[in-house]
Amino acid sequence: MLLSDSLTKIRKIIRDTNANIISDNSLIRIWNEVQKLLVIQTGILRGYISLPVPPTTSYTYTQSWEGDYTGKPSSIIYDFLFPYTYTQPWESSILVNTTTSINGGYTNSYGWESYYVTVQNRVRHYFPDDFNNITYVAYDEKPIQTVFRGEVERGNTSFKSKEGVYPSLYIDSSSSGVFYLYPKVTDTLTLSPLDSEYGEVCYDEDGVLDFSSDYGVVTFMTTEALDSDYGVLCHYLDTENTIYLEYERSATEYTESSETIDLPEWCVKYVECGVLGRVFGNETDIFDKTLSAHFNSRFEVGIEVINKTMSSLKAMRTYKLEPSEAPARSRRLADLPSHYPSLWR
Amino acid sequence: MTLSELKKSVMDVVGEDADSPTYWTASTDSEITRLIQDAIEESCCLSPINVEEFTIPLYAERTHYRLNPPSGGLLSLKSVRVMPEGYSLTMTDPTKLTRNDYNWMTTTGTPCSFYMIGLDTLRPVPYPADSTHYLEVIASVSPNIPSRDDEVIDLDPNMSSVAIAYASYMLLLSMRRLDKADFWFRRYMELSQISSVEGSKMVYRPIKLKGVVDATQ
Repeated sequence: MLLSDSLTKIRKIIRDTNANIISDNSLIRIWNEVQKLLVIQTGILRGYISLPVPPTTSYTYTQSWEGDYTGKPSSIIYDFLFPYTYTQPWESSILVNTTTSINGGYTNSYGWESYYVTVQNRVRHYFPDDFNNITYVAYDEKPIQTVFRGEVERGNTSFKSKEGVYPSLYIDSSSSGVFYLYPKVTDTLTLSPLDSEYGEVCYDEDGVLDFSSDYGVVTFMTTEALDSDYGVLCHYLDTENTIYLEYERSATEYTESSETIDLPEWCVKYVECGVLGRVFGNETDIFDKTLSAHFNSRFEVGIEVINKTMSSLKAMRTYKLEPSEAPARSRRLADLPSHYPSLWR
Repeated sequence: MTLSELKKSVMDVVGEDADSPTYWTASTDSEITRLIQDAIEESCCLSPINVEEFTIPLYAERTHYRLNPPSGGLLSLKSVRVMPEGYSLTMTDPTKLTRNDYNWMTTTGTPCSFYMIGLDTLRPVPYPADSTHYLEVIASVSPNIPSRDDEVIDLDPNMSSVAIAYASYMLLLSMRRLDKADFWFRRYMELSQISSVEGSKMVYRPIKLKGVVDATQ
């Protein structure tokens, strides 16, 4: 269903088919806002994705202003209160003169670097752009759990550099879109050593790189001539040695009325009710308090209908949750031989 | 009842001459069709009466399958069977699967259970190792209203009353005949399963629509 169909229907209800009162851009803005509210309150949109380990990155930046000119940042180097940027944690101590020299170590700007050297900082992974909440996560085709800062830091001063094989997913801040694997997973891939032949990073499972058949993340050669065997490299991911994530996702934000609506068609009318509730409540010639309250009420009922429909999808489960109250104790005695003494007759 | 008859019933309510319409002609009555569709969709959400059966082929090594019922959006599942064996799959979720078998994600074979991701993606467990099976799905769906006026809307007879009440309420509301719109809205709530009775899980706030009094009253 096109967004234009929904906007046309809304305009017919408010009797503003010529956009004299509310422009299309305003309507689309309201539409996006109401849709976002509906999706967050119902969790109706779900997605699933495989995320590579180590995380792939396209670029990084050291000055925070650079982020305004780029897309999603792949890695953020430390940027503190000074006009300087630094990559080593000890640099800030030097700047404030708390010490004259500190022995530092490696820090990574690209995720894959951490698998060649032991880095001081943690390897950041990024949730998908439309991520809202986790519903299920697995690593290397095995379920993993989510841990929080309290569990990780408690008595564990080296949690940032701890390595292991069976990680948990650690979210530092729910609003950052960043997560880590704790402990860091390093012993999963047989990585080829870097030399002058390789630009970014490539990996191969058996340690021998064969360009006729092995393609990792991105490869380019400074000496090998491109020929018809090379085209656009695709990043193929399966669930082995990757993070598999099922999550509640956010809806697409629309900018043009010609776009297709992301929601199931039967949910669209509830968004329209929410939009009508907002439109009738705006400071315009069609302001009407009762109509605004009426359509807002219909929007709230629509959320209940959607939640009811989603719960009905789980109605076929063969197990059920235990009641909160304790089960009644049975007074039936154990089936023991009669010569056994009974302790609670 | 055909789509044309439904539209004419709505026109009768809103005061249009159904046989010789002056406003709701063929070029403008798509609004009525859309409103009828909305009413039927909402009723199907509340009481799954429109049931459809369709099949999904299973492919080797594929773990996720998109459910696309031919006639409309998926609302709820009634039954999922694996064919040609014919036994039903039990619905589960990743938490229960993990408790039963830590390696459930890598197990292959003939599916015996499944879980849903969102509203339209099904994941069979274990996932098939070959392409010799298919799933037979019986589900409640929201129907698509036929676009031609002479097509019969093949639904529960009560559905036509629900659709007429809803479309009438919305059209009267758009014409700002709010007293009449309020009447038809309450009638729609009575005919569908949405009730204003206190204590009902889904309650519309009893808001009296106030507007200009209709000149004919």
